[in-house]
Amino acid sequence: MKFFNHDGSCCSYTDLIQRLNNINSSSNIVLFNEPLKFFTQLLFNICNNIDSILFDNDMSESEKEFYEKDLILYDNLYSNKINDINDLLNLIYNSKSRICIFTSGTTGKPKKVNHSVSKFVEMSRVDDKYKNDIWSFLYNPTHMAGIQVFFQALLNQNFIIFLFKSTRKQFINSCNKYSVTSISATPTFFRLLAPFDFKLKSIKKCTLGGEKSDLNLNNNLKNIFPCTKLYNIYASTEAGTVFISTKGNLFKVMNSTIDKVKFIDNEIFLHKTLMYENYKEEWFPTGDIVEFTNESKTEFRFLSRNSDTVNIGGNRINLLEIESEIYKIKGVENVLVYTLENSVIGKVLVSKIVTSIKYSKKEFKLQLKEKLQSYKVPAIIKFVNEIEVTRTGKIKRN
Amino acid sequence: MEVNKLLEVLNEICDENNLELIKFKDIEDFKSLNLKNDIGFDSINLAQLTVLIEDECDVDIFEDGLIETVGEVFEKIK
Repeated sequence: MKFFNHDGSCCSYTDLIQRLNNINSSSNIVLFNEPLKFFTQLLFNICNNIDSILFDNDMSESEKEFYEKDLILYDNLYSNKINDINDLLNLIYNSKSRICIFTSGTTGKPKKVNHSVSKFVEMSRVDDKYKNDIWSFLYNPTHMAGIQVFFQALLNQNFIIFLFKSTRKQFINSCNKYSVTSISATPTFFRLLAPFDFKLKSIKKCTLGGEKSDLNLNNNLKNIFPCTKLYNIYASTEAGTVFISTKGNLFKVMNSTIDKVKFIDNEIFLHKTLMYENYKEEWFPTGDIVEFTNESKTEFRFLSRNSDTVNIGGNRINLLEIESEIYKIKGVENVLVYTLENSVIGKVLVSKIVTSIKYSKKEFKLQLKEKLQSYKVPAIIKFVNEIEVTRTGKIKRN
Repeated sequence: MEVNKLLEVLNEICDENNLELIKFKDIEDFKSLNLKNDIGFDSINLAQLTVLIEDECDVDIFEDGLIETVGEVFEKIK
């Protein structure tokens, strides 16, 4: 039974168990360098009730401070022998260890967030119907979404094809070669698959998370993955998955979380029971703003994050709205709208655009002026070859 | 930034905003052009100019106050 594939090198569940049985030292710091080594150490820690702190190998200076301060080495460990996959799963289900991850740091200094392994187990859906799933692993494994995919695949004993940071060509070739059935990634990742002139029929489940998607992208994905069911998930580092939608961008408060979610001025607040360990406040303000689509206020779609709205010249502007309109222009593959401090008018709207069709800036602005009020049309249009993304595969606005 | 490059930047803004393109006669005439009165720039166009010039020269031409003529732009970026 296959467990993991990276760069064509394959590891079975039997190989994994053998690797785990051969380990007798570890540390609480699990550094992402080589994917299989990373997951093996993480699993070893989980099986031995050792807490893990996950680090990227390109850690920032402030993360390095944590690294040096928190490192604990464990030598001469004599863990119980794992005989088979059932032994391994039992150890995971009964693990008391915790996984510490860092928030992306988009709001400032990176913050450590602890989640129990049992929380990841609870968030996974384990069932016979998932046992033949083959996953394309597209998230950063040191972050929430990556760990969730890992647990979902592992607990169902699935085959994982590690494709984080792969190119469009590698992704398409690997999905074809291994008949991948399940993928989960950020909308930014999926947008970078443009041009959408291929089809992957083996993919049955496609999940988008981490950023706001749009109908145009959803339609393109339905076209390239003709046999797939599309899911949008709302998740955060602090809470994990909270909402799942199968109806495009329309989300619904689930019965299981109805008393753990509230809305104040259309902003989502999550109860501490959904949050990471030791979260002190009663309610966590997510900064995510929604628009209700029914009178009973149980269904909604996401409008923006607080940080996605800016005030320019007294006009409140939602940057995602502008990006959404730009995406509708033919040939546009990727967009970033942001503001720059400006000595003349305070702030100026700037847009970076990747497009397969050559436009003059004038033509492009004219198209935008037909769709948006003039104050929402970016003063500066920059046609670029690519737009930088964060470690978690999202567009980097700041 | 050379004369031709600045002319190109100014005309790029003129073109985007349906303003009459600047015809270069001589350097003195070019330098004497008033950004608002002669070329027709509004504050948004001036903001565009600052961003485009900052991209090229890493200089914020309006940092110390408002600039009125092309010649004053030259003084800032030379």
